[in-house]
Amino acid sequence: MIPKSFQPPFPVRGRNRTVPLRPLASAAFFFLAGVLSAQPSAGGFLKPSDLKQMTVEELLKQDVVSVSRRPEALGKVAANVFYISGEGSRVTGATTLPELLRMAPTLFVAQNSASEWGINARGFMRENAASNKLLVLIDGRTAYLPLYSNVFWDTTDVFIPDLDSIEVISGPAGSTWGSNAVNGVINIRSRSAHDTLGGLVLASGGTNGSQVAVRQGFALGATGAMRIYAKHTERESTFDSAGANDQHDEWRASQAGFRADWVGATGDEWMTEGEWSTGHYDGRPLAPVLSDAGHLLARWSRELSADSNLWVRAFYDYVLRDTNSNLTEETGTADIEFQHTLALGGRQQFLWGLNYRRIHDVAKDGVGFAILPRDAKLDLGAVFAQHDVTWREDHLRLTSGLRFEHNDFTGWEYQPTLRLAWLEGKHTAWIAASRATRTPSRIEKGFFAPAEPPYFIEGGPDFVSEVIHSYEAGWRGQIARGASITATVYNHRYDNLRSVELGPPIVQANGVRGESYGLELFLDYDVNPAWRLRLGGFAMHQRTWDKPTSVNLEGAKGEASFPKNQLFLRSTFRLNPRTDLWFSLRHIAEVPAFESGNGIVPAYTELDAQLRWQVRPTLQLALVGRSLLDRSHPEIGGEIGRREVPRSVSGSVRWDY
Amino acid sequence: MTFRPSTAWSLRPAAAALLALVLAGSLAAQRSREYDLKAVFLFNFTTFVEWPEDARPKPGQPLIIGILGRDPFGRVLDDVVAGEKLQDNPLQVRRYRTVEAAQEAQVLYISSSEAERMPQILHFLRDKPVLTVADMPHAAGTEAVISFATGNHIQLQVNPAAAQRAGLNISSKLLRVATLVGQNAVP
Repeated sequence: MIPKSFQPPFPVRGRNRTVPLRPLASAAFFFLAGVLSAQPSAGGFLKPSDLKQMTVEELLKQDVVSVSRRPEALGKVAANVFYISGEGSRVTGATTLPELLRMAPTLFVAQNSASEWGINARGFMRENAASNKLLVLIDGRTAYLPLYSNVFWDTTDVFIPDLDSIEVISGPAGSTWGSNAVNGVINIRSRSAHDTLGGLVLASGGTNGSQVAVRQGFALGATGAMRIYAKHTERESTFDSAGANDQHDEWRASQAGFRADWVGATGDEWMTEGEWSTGHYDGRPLAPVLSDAGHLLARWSRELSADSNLWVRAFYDYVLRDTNSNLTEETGTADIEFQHTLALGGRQQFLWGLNYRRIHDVAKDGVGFAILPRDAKLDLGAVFAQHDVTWREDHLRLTSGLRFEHNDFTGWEYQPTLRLAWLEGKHTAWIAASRATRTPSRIEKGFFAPAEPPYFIEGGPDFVSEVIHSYEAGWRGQIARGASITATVYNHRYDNLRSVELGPPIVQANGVRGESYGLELFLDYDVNPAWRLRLGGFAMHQRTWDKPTSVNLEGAKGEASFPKNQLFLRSTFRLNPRTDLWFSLRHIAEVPAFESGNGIVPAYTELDAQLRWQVRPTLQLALVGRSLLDRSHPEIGGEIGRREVPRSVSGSVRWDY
Repeated sequence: MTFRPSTAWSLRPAAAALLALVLAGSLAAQRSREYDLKAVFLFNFTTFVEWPEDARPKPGQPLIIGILGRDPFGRVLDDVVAGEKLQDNPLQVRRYRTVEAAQEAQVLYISSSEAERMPQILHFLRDKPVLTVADMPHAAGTEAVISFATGNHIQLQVNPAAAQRAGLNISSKLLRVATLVGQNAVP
């Protein structure tokens, strides 16, 4: 079993770094222009005197703009953001995060084994399902591992029944969320403990495995609430393409955790959560693969005034991934972030913050290689700011953001963005330009083979960050009663993508450039109150090529295992007040496997469905079918040795008390 | 693959087309600042509530909207009620430091700064004819007559049992749009 993102690395003969000053200069100009021209006024918001003319019903429908509560909402007006509500898991019957993320038409989700998935937006995935350009955050805690530059979806587990929402941002968002938010960000939020009072038992089982989840929520004094939860999941092995040989990748995982929220003296809001999880898979013919992960997070926020809010969040995260013969990593991450948001008059909002992170990463030698230094302590610091200004009665909104980040591998990185939105009635049009970076992983900087000198492969001494320049435009609007559309077009330009350069010695470097462009579309149509239809997907094209100075042993197409298009059709139909039927039909175009030259994953169409019956307000039964159209089908990888996802049928019982 | 990196793929025409398209739109986006809205709600509450006979201010005397704890409104609440009357009673905003002093108010906004003291405050006001409005979700579940829950919209949580104890009669117009909490939550 080869760990994800581990590609036998192999030159830097010339480093090409372009420093585009123009976008930065224009960002600075717009920023200054915004600050100078916007005088404090109530413009852009309804005046209290207008509000007084409204009925209570109308008041309750008002969109609330509160500086303090949603500072992160700034700038999202001008971006392609897809929301999956917590209710999404009940509608789809998803028991794992990747299954739930299939709801987002902008994401390509490919299952690679019983426990492994590859997920990315806008291209760039390896044929082993690794993608290093998507940042994943859970309540602000990063799930992106610095050793691999990847997210392991088996350990990135959450207690799905208590999810508040998942925000899928496609396109770079490095200025807000930091490095590695190159092609997108997935922002997962769990519900406040205030909203999960009471108990829950959820059990499901079927042909592909089983899961039991329990939660108990309770009040904590007069102003607090807490929940504790536990979950155990078992997933059956996948099969090879012949459908005959068991791949011995059955996955077992358990997790337990808590979350507490309370309001302290002087209105301070506190939140703390913690979790421990452990996973295991058979791993034959090699030794079993084990993973342990845990974290503790706390957040404090205070409203200094109606216009100003302070926020501090700190977490410690531990991950051990023991793949025995291949690569074993143990990582501890301590992170603290401070953020201050303030409204400057009625038309401007300003947010700034600081972040410090310390990563302690220990990598055990594999067979014939080592990650050097074996024991690494990495420091990361960032300072960021975002400014939001509106003109013309709030019709025009300009968001500019800039983040400076310092890391031990490449020093200072800067990530600016400039976003302009035009809001007119039920329509919003926007354009954006951004620059974001992906910082090198430990494997890219320090992969040495053999494990002791003399080395044949000598890491990536000159490896710098990958850089993206992105240009986007989008439109959201209501096109008819009950029908809305979201359309986004983009052009991404990549520089310093990874290459493996011919030696001697062989090193990893930044010898590849790339470009992609595409369209993301989502249509939402409420046919009638009982029937909801969704149509969504993307069409894209990506191209990567070696720089003239590069002799790339890997070839430039290592990250090209991504479909040119995918299309989803979903329907939620309420048969009667207590029963609903959901189905999702998906078509995914062929996925190449250039790297191994090992054929393609043919295009496929699959059907997922759930029939849900609310027997009583506290009792729900459901029948779920996944990938119903074929006995089994592959989603990613070369023809030889890849695993296939079998059809599955399962049932579930949910009891809320 | 016919795509060439040197071909600048300009988004300008697309963006221009999109802008032109939305210019055809009509309604203005309706957004409000949190405390402007809450101030207007407080003002509106006076028209949806009936106080017991002996708790109503005498003709000509002000009907008081009190603020207990940190004042998040600035001048907004004062401006909203300026010149407004409920029957013969002009509306007036007063700010209080102690709950003992605040019990003279007909409507009492309790700031989130008082979260920790909230149970004691509400317990003290429990049988008094004061419309307590807590700026904290779930406070109605404890004792407040109304609490604000703030998300993308303002949500009103009303505790009918607490209203009854205070001797207040809340209009069904308000009950219809609120989330009912506490005992006897079913109307």
